Amino acid sequence: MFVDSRFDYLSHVRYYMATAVTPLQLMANWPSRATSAVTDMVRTRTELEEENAELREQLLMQQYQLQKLEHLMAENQRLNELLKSSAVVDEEVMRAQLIGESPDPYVKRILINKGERDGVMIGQPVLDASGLMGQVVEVSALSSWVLLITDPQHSTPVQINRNGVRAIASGTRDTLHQLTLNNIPNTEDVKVGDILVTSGIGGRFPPGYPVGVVSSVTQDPAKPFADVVVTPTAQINRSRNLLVVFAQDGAAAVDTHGEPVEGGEHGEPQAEQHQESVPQTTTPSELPADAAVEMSAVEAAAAAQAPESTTPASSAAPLQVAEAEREEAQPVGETSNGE
Amino acid sequence: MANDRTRGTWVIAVSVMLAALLAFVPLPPWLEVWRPKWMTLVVIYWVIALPHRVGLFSAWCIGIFTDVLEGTLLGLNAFTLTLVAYGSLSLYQRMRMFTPLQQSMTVLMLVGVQQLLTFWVLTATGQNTATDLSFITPALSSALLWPLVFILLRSWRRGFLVY
Repeated sequence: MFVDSRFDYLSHVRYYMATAVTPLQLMANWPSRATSAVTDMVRTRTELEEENAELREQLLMQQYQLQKLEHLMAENQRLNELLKSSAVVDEEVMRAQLIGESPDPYVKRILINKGERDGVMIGQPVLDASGLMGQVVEVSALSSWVLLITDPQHSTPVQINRNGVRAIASGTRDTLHQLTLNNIPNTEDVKVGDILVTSGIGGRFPPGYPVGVVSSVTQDPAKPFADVVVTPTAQINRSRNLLVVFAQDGAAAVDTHGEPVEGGEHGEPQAEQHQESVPQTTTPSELPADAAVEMSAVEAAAAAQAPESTTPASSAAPLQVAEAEREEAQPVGETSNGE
Repeated sequence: MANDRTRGTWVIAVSVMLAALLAFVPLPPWLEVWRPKWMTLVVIYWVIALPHRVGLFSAWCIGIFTDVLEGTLLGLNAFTLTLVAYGSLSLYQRMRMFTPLQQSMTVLMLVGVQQLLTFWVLTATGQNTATDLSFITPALSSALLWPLVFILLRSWRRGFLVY
């Protein structure tokens, strides 16, 4: 087992055995599927009609938003060209279904029904309809394990949508699915309700996917850092339909080191790459604590140098606003509305 | 006579499969903390019932199977289940004489030791995130369910004449 944790030798053995047990895992999941199938069958007509109307309304609204989006995307592309930054990488997605989850309540991993046969690779981000869920950490022929962003061993590089402040969102041991932001100074401009999106730093997750909403900020003057709790936007413990993200060229979005989009002059990508607690099979995994501290130092240094190449998620202007706000540094006082 | 040693192996295999299903069925979060270690219970039962057939090697194989199923570190369950099997092997003569309550207590100890070992290994490999004693709860639920498992498996074993 130490070999498994440190080296890669056993990955093949594991791959075949994992493929062999997939039918069993599917079977174990059968009762919950059956119940949902039965509830679907016994719906009344009125219920269905209501749902239908609701969905139609939703579709209308979303199509309207989509119209605007097309225009905005084109405009964004033009602006990016003007700024001479590289084009936004387009992603493709593949639908997948949840077929199981880790029996250990403190290990937040789920099993999906797409594996190597479908082209899934280690490191691919997984989304649901409303936000980032996690990343693929283990692949067998027909299924793969996804480490959720709320796992205590997982950290996601994020950015506040409002002002571009960057941070690292780590999972917690809480059985409720929640995240915390590491090493946020008390004077940082973080407010309840702020939306966090992936920053794209580190190259593991593409930039701009919603990760969570800040649900409470507690500033204790006695502590160097504020406690920031984040509720994920993805319905981590409810979604059954997931999306696995492919980069446009069909390759997994793993190796995007030093891609110009990432604004990589400060050397964060490498550090970040480290920070993500990727599969236990490939990296020594005791990093979280110190790596996080180290990271924040690098990040802080990076943040201090104001101008940076634009990320697609946030243009340069909001970033500078963020800098200005940070310098004023008014403590926001204690605000919290935890669940 | 040679037949006796291989007879009914499928009964053991099926019981292990059932335990695997139970160990993997999704549960609501509050219940999940209390999920008994089904695989361990089944291994303990077969070791004390048929110590000449189910021993350390079988336990190790079942453990590897569990590891793959649950996506844990490969060898973690293999290691802990082998030690549990060793414990049961050295206790089986006494276990057979015990009252159900005493048996439950022994199971509590065995599963507790298994959980503790898991905890140690996870800490040693830097994957542990537990900071409290919550890893003990499965041992309690396993001990509570032991009499049921014992009676079921015993009637099953006798029904299929596995000796």
